[in-house]
Amino acid sequence: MRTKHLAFSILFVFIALIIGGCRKEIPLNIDSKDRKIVVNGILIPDSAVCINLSKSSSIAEKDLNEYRYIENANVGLFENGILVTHLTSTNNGYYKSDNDFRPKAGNFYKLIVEHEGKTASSEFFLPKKELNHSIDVKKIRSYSFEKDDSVVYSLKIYISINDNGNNKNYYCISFGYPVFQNRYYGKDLPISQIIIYNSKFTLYSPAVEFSNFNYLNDDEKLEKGIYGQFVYFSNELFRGQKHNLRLETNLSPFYVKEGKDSATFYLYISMIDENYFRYRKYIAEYDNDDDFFSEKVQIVNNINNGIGLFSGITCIVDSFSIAINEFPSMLIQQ
Amino acid sequence: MKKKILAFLLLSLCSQLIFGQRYTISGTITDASNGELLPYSTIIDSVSKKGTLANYYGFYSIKLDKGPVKIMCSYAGFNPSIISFNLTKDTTINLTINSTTEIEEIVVTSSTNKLRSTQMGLVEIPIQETKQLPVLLGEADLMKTIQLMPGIKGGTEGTSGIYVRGGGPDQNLILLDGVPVYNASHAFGVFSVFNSDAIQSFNLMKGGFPARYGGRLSSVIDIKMKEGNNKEFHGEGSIGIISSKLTLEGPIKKEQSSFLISARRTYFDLFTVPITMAASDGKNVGGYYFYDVNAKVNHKFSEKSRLFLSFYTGLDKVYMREKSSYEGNTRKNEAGTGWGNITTALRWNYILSDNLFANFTGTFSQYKFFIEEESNNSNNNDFFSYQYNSGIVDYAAKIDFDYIPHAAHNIKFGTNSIIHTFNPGVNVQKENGGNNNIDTTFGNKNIYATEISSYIEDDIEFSPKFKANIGLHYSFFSVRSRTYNSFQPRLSGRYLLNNNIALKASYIQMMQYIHLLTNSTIGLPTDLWVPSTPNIKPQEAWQTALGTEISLNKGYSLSVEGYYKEMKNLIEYKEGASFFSEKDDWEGKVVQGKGWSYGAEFLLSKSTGKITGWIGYTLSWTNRQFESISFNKVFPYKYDRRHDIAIALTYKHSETFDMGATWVYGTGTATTLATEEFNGYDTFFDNFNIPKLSGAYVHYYENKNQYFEHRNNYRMPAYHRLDIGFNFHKQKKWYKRTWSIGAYNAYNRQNPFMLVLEKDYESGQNKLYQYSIFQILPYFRWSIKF
Repeated sequence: MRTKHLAFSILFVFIALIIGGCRKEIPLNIDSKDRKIVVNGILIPDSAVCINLSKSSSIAEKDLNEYRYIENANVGLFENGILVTHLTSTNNGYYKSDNDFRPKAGNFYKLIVEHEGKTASSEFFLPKKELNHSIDVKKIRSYSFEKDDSVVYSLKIYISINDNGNNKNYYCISFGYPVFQNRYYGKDLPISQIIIYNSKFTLYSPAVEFSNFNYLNDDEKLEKGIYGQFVYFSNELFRGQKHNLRLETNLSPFYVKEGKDSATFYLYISMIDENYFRYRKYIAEYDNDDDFFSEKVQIVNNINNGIGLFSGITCIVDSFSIAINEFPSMLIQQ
Repeated sequence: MKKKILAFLLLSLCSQLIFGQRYTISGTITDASNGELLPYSTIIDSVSKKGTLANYYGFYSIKLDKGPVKIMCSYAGFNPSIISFNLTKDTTINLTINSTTEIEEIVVTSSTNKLRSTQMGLVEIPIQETKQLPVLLGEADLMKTIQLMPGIKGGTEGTSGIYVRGGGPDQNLILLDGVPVYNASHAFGVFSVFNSDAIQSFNLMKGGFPARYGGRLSSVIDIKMKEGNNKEFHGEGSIGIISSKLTLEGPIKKEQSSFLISARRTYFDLFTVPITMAASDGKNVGGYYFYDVNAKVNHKFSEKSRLFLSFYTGLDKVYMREKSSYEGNTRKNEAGTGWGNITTALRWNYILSDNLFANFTGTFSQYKFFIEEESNNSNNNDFFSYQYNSGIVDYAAKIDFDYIPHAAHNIKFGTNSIIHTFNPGVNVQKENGGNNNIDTTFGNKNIYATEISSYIEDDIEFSPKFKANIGLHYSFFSVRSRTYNSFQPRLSGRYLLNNNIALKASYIQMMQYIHLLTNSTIGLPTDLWVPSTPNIKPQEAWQTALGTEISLNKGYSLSVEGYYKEMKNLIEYKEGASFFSEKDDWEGKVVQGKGWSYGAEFLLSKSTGKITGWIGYTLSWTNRQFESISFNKVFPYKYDRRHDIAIALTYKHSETFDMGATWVYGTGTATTLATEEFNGYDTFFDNFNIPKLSGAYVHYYENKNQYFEHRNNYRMPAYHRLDIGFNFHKQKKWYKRTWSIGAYNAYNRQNPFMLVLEKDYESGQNKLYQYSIFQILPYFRWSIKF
């Protein structure tokens, strides 16, 4: 399909030639004073609450690169309609619970932010932790093949999910394992890919997203270096049914502590709020919106009188081990 | 209620039958100068004040009381013809009328038609008038001319796509001699495919569609090619800045059969080829051209039987050739893209009796878009070729009848069947050489569909003042084992308050089974025609309108119409999707939603005298709502244009000089523009690697995202433009010569084509830039007619 683009570029050049000669700057008619409160908040059951507040910038402002954190807002968190904690500013727009409140799965949460006479609010239901479904890592198998004189290993992971039949359930599956990061490989760390088989759920593209977990400190650097991959889907096509899917991933070199004979791999099955699901879906579209002709993507916003996302994720974690002798060339010991 | 209506209809019919002895006057109406049949002419008996309209094929039939009659026949752009006699039996009179170009003063009588007709939202412009108005680069263009009428909007600057009463560009049924034309534009929409020298007449309906039309929601543009002069040989041709054209017509057998052939070609490539060669030391060649050819032959077997064969083909092509040499090794690359239509119609008209007319038509229509690339190496015979094709092919057959059983009834009925073949995009790749030996075809499979429709309508005159057109259109569509069908009632009525004022109202329902997959950014020839499928439902609409036609003194007339239209199952690309995105097939890229439009249209026109023309004003609102676009928020349609004004004037000073001017103004086009930026955080969850989640912290990875309230949230600057043109005629011994000079965008307004936000890295600030296509464009054209 590359050639299709190439040939079409002729058309594009033609259009550009037509319009290229007539370009002028025109005034941007946007009210640059009335800025919105931006909320970014994800709640996790039994975890400390941390949200971030900032202000939007007019597209016409000069210092767009600055982060306009809000440091002096009144922030209240409500659980099932009852105020449970105030959030206080730490720094860089972060707000944390002043009484170490921990959210519980299966509750409604509402956030109210007051700042400079404006009030922004949002609410959502934190999915129950009962997670009426099962996870079963049925089979793990490895194989290898030669490619450019290097060995590539893959994992196949079989998962069964019993959907509880709710009208709308949204899932996130993440798979992680300790990788040996930047220290030796720099930025050329190979990226794993998850290929999904036997899937009949709606797969939003890119269904697979990658994000590197950061380190907390030098001592824990290697153990925290989890290479995470997320897959999001809904029960749209398997509501109330048992659903089988298989994840397949090529492995990057992973880390095993000296003296150990196996590495631990983690599988995270999460029930997520609809808002978060839609946010991830649109972020994926937004990040891939590099085609001149494509329709612009609007990022999900569930903040009343503001912008951003206030949502939650309820997760259970499973793990399994891989003996180091199964993947000898992938092992890096320290 | 149904019984009451039926009783009323029967009573009306009986009352007409009882009173007086009546006879039928029937025949055809032709242009005296060339013998061509004239569609939709008006026939009025000024004694009884009764009248009728000829049909599309120039046939008329009217029943009148025994006694003296005075028949007046009129047609837009023609001088009325009057004939008086005593009616004592059924009579056949084939009327001929003269074009106004042969007399001193322009007399246009379309206002009489509009006043008496039940048809609402009808736009008729004499083809001569489109040639007098100033046009882009001197190329007379009927699609551009109809954009000057209220309720009909052009797209962005330079495009010839039209948007009627809030509808999309695919909702217009564009018929060339009864054959649907799927892509009506050349040069990315700068010109239409209709060569005005080959066109006899055209009209556009934007509402109150009679039952005989179907398949599109918003408008019907009915274009009739010239039939060819069956009396004498004539020709016309012209040479302009960007194109030349030549039309020849004449009798094959005098007054029995005739032909017409018309061709046009641009010569952009005459300029681009030397430029690209000079820029690449003769290695590269690039260019663009388009051409089109219209041809038609007809034969009159008898006064009752005629056969017509019409043909159109056109092609746009952008091409590039590249040659490179290295150490005696020569490599040649050729790449190009093109698009074009082919249409053919074979039509047989037969007058079965003095009140029954039949038309049988077989048609073929094809639109094809292609991309091709080929390269080869002289030394090692390496070869690579790639082709991409998309398009649509239709084969259709239809039968139409006109039955006039009574002076108060004009019944039309018929049926139409179309076999569609949709090609949503197929790739063919061949490669030879090295380790590769590829010959593969991949892409979307063809989709086959059948569309069948039937209709019946009756133009009923309940009283001299009250007339109605009542009809029913039925359609059926079968695709991929799924069938859709619909009954679409059509109703329009006219009430004459007096001889000069008519009140009109209409209600229609429409169904459309095919869709044009187009980006909102810009219309491209890559836009795909796709069918309704089991997943993609047909588009539906209903529209109601209320209006008045007022005939004023001195040739002035005023038309006012208000309308409300609702549409559902409209199709749009999803957010983030485009023709080029490869992550899904076409069905996966689109969403369906609804839209609605309402407004009022005012048209003041002057059709007699040295100065003719019109002033049109539209006040309208058009919105869309899609569940997965802008989170189900209502957003304005791209061409939601609150105010739209068009003034078109022609002035005929003498036989040797006339001039025209148009001025248009429109509220800025709606576009999507980010208005704010915000910290959008990518979340990750520390301690997720610890099986017990207790104490996990959420961390946020900061990222700047852009925000806009909804699609089409921003308005481009208003659009306005003045065009002016002058025509100098001179009758030479053998031909009439015309010099046309003028200017498009005479006061050099930089109208917006698109807006782009660009970051100024010095100041760190976003700036908004407007891109314009056409600034002032002078033109000249030399034409002859013989």
